[in-house]
Parts: sequence; structure tokens; C-alpha cells
Amino acid sequence: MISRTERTATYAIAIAFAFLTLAPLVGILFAAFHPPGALLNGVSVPHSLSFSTFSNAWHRGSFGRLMLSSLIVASSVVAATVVLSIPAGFAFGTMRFPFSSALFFLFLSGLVIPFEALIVPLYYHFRDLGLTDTYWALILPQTGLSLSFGVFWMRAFFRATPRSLLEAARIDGASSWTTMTRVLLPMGRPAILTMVLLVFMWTWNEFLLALVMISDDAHRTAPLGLSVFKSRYGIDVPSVSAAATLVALPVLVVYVFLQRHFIRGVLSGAVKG
Amino acid sequence: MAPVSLDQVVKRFGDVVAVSDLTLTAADGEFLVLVGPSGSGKTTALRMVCGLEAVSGGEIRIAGELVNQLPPRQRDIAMVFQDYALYPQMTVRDNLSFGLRNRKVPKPQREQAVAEAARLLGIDNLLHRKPRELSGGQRQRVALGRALVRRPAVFLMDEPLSNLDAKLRVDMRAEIRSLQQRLATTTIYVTHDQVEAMTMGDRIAIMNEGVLEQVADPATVYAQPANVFVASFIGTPAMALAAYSYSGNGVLRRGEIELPHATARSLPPDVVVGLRPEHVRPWRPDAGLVGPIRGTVELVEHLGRESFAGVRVDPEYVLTALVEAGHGPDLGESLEVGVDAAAAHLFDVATGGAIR
Repeated sequence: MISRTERTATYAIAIAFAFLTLAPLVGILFAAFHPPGALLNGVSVPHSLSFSTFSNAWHRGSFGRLMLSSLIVASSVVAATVVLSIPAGFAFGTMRFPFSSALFFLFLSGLVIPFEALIVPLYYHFRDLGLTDTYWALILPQTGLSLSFGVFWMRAFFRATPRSLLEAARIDGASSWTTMTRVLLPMGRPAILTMVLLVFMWTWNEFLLALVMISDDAHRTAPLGLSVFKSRYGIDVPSVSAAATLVALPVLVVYVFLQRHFIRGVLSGAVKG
Repeated sequence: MAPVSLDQVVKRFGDVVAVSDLTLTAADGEFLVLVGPSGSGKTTALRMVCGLEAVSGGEIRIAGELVNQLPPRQRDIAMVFQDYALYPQMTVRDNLSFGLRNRKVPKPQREQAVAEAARLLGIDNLLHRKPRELSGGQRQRVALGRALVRRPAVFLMDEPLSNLDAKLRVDMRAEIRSLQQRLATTTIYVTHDQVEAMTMGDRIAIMNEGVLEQVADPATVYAQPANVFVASFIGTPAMALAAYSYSGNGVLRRGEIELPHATARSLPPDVVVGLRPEHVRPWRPDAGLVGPIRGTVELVEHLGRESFAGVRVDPEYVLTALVEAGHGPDLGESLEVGVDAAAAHLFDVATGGAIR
């Protein structure tokens, strides 16, 4: 049993952290409800609930097109990551083959090496290949990066599945493919959806790579659109806040849909279900 | 006809020898129990027969065919796992038919086989359920069903009852046994529970530290244990074992205890004497027992029909005596016991082997 004091303290700390997390978001939301160009100081409560700044920012930044680019890039990266990391994680998690640990560490290095260190050489490579200013310049590097995480994540999932299930499937004459798709993957929905959510979020929010690789308007992604509101005279705070809210919205929507699985996926390593 | 034979089978994990020189045959249709404490190599032996573990040496044959290099699915075996290993997202029906489907058995035959297995195990009303909607006993039945639906040549069972509660375990013991007899399928059954071994097996193979200690039918294993390990492992309460000395005059001696020795064979000077509880009784002059031997009661187990008393007769020697129910002595009480000396088991001190 948890004592009353302990429970009170738990709530107090949780509320304090929730406040710290939410305060800046609320500040941005408040700012977005001010008219475009308004000069703001700190958190300022809006006088009226007007969405005009949002529609204004949407048109000024042509976010319709940017979001479409982002969606193309993010969904390609997510799809490629899921399709590739599941079989790779299955192999790393359940099979013994030569150099498996060396190969796995190679994958892990993608998680360890800071991406910023790779961006400049990556840019020259892609320019030589003529791929800058294309979606490939965003999809390929981010798929590679996400695979580090995806393979690591799916390997952990497959390793956590009971070994006797794999063995039972082997005795039942199932091929590796059947074992993976029919026996183990149906249990893996929380793990896979968690991976989808994280990779989608990281790809959607990616800024630096897009900034370096894309100069052509047709291929710019949503986070780049925020720079429209920066002029040499300063930043249009209400507009950039509204635009930032719009850019964050898809991630939020995806999270709301997947959160039940997300929490289970994150917990599944810790608590045996 | 599918006998399973292991010929000098060895399994090494790095430097550790898990199974050493195991030579053992399960005859066609036989129920062979592999029993031993944990780490005795019994499960490893089973997994080698199954094909889940490669052999480091020796030969395994199923129905006469060398299977060392064959993957599990080509060995015509089925295994029941300790944790059942049911496919959690499949219904009972799909669990049962999974193996048949992988073997490309046509659907009508598949359905017939599933229906038959389900009827045999009394799970026909559960076919649409998922494993998590089943009780422990039901899951156990599904696991058995998955094994027998394919009608394999050999059943392999790895402690299949150890996750059930005591009552259910006794029921399933009898049920598995009668099922096996009806199907007459060669079965190798691994357990650490010697009661399971005694009640289920046609023969029992007792393993310890990777070595086969004895293989025989339950009565023989109990009445004529091959060595000290078997003697101490089989039987509850365990046989009381202690070193006696023999100086050639027909009497085994330990302190003040003297046991007349009837066998004609000459004995070495040091002998281990084993006495089962039923051969140690409260002292009565007219019962034909050797005694009285006086000691202190330091353990009493009332089992209802009978009781057992642990009697310390010297600092390193506790004799367990079978006492009629209702006449159980109290803890700490002094008790005189008598011994049926003719029933004593004698073992060589150095080798542990039985002296007969």
C-alpha cells in the first residue's frame, strides 16, 4: 500500500513536471491566437479565440504543399523502416549466423554517431549522385538512420518472445518466414506501432537534413516552412506560433491514435505480459 | 514401429559436458521417463532427440533411421513444452492445425484430424477460443492435442505437468498415460518428479550430472537401486543411507548398531547401508526386527494413512521409520525402532554401486 503522504507527493511531483512540460506549449498556443505581427512579451493571454492567424500562416507559408512533402517523406521512411527492420530484427533476435554481433554493432553505430557529423559528407555524396532537391535525399538517409533504431527495437522484441514458441513452430514444420509472420508478429503489434510512431515523429520533425539537402520549394518539408516568418526586422511571433502548432498537429494526431499501443510497447520490455 | 535409440550420445556446451555417453533405447510404443534433478541433462537429452539441440557425439536413431543431421520437422516427432508454447494469437483450432497446414495436408483431412484430436482430449467445445481464454488444464490439453493431431511416431514431453496444481497434475498423469496406451506411440517423458516417473513410466531412466544411473521398470528401480544416487533419489521419504563397517563375522556394525548380514558374498570392510522407511518400524520384540535401536524423534510427517518419523540414532544418522497413523510419536521424544535387516540395501563406499 502507498501511504497518503506518498501519494500526495507523487501527485505533486507529477503535476509539477506536467506543468513544466505543458507551459511552453500553452504559451505557443496563446501566442498563436494573437493577430499576425502583434508584439508579444512572454506569455500573453489572447483576448479572443480567433483562428485567423492560423489560416493566415497556412497560406503565407503554403503549408498545404509543405505538409504533402513531409507526408510523402515521412510515410516512405516509416514504410521502408518497418519492412526492413522486422526481418532484420527477427534474424538478429532469433538466429545464430556468422558475424551476427559484429553486424549488429554496425547497426547500433547509427544510434551512437551524431547525425550532424555525417551531414556534410552526405550532402556531397548526394550532390554527386544528383539527388539533392529530390525526396530521395530525405528518404534514404532517414531510412538508414531509422533502421539503426528499428533493427535494435525489433531485435529486442523478438528476443523477448518465448523461445519455446519458436521451437514449437520449428517442430510444427514452419519455415522462418511463417514463424515470423504467423507466430511472432501477431504478438508484436505494440512494438511495431511504437516504432511507427517514433520514426514518424523523428522524420516529420527533421529539420537540419531538409535544410541542407533541399533548396527547391517544391520539395521543402513543413519544418522548413517556419522560416518564412523570420524577416530581417524580427520574427512574427503569433504567425510562427500558429505555424508551429499546425506542423506539430499531425504527430499529435498519430500519437493520439496509437498511444494505447505506444504505452504497451514501451512497457513490454519492462514487465512480462 | 518407431523405437528411439541413443548410442553413446554426448552433448557439450563449451567445456561443460551436459550429457555424457548416453546409451538408451525406448522401445516401440514404450513410455520411457527420463528423471533426475535439475542439471542432470535429461532435458538436454530430450532436446537432442527432438532436434532442437545438436549432438556433440554419438548417434540418435528414430525408427532405425539416423537423425543426427535432420531438422525437427523431418523427425516425425511432436513435443509438449513445459510452458505449453501455444501460439497466443491463434485459436485452439489454428493451434492444432498449424503443423498440418505447414505440411500441406489438405483441408478436409486437416479438419478431420483436428476434430478427432479435440474429441480425444475433450476440448471440442474450446476450438474457437484463444489460449489466454483457457484455464491451465485446458491449455495443457491443447498442448497435448497439438502434439497428437499429427499422429507422430514419437511424443516428447518436457515436464508437461509442472505448471499445473497438484490435484490436476494427478488427474493429467493418469490421462496422459491412458492416452499414450491407447495410441501406443513411443513416448519419452522428462520430469524431475519421481512420483510422476514411478506412476507413469513403463521404464524409468534416472540421470544425474549427465550420466545415466539406471534404467529399469519402476518396481525394479525401487527394489533394486543400482547405486547410492538412485537409492536416495527414488522413494519418499528417502532411503536412510549411512556407512557401516564389516569385519567378516556376518555382522555390519555402526557404533552400537549391529545388523546381521545374510548374503553369502563377502563384503568389503566399509559398506553403505540403505534402509527404506517401511523397513524401519517402532520396536516390538516379536516382530522379527533387529533392535532395539534408540534415538530421538526430530521430524514427524503425518500423511493421514500413515506417518513417518525421523529418528536420530547417532549424530550423523537419521533413520526414517514408518509409523501407523494415530501412533505417531511426538517431536523430541525418545523412540526405539527395529530394522528389517534382510531388506537392507548394501552399496560399495568407493563406487556407490549396489552390492548384491
